[in-house]
Amino acid sequence: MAAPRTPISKASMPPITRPSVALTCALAWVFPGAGHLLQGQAGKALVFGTMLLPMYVLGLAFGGRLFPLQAVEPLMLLAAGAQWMIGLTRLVAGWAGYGLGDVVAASYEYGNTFLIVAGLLNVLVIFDAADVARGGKVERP
Amino acid sequence: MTSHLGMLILFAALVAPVFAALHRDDLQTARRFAARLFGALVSGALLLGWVLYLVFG
Repeated sequence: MAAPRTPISKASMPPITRPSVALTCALAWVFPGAGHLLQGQAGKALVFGTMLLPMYVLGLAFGGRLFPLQAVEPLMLLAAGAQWMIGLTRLVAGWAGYGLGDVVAASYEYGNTFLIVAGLLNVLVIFDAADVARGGKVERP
Repeated sequence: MTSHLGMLILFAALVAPVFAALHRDDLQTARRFAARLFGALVSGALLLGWVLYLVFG
């Protein structure tokens, strides 16, 4: 025989713990969409992961260059900063020796554009993930 | 790929869904927004290309 159920008041329930904003942003920086995945927005995470990663890889395949973080050339520094906004991918690509830049390739500038834009779009994704983590943006059903 | 148009379409196809996911929460409206944005990016670039060609070409 089942025991009688006692009603649970809201005050007695433990508060819902959300992953911290810092952790969400860090994960979103490391891997596009990981921050949203942590916040339970799998659909958005899938979109970001399946669009931004191929964009970065295509940028490398088109002969784009991974710019070094050097202050000698300000524009190059900005480009490098943008490319570093997809942390893990940039790190792995650098370690693997990709992104040397094929200057004579017809698609060289396109490659750079793909690499830079993928990084900048991930900045927007990080901001969005931070908004979600703060509770300022909730996904509608 | 070395086709300018191909690059443009590929770029628009990758960028549009990201902006749609950022700006729309509902899947249906996000799809529509992505399609419109894709069309706007491609047609806008073609239009600008023709204007530049006619003015400076």
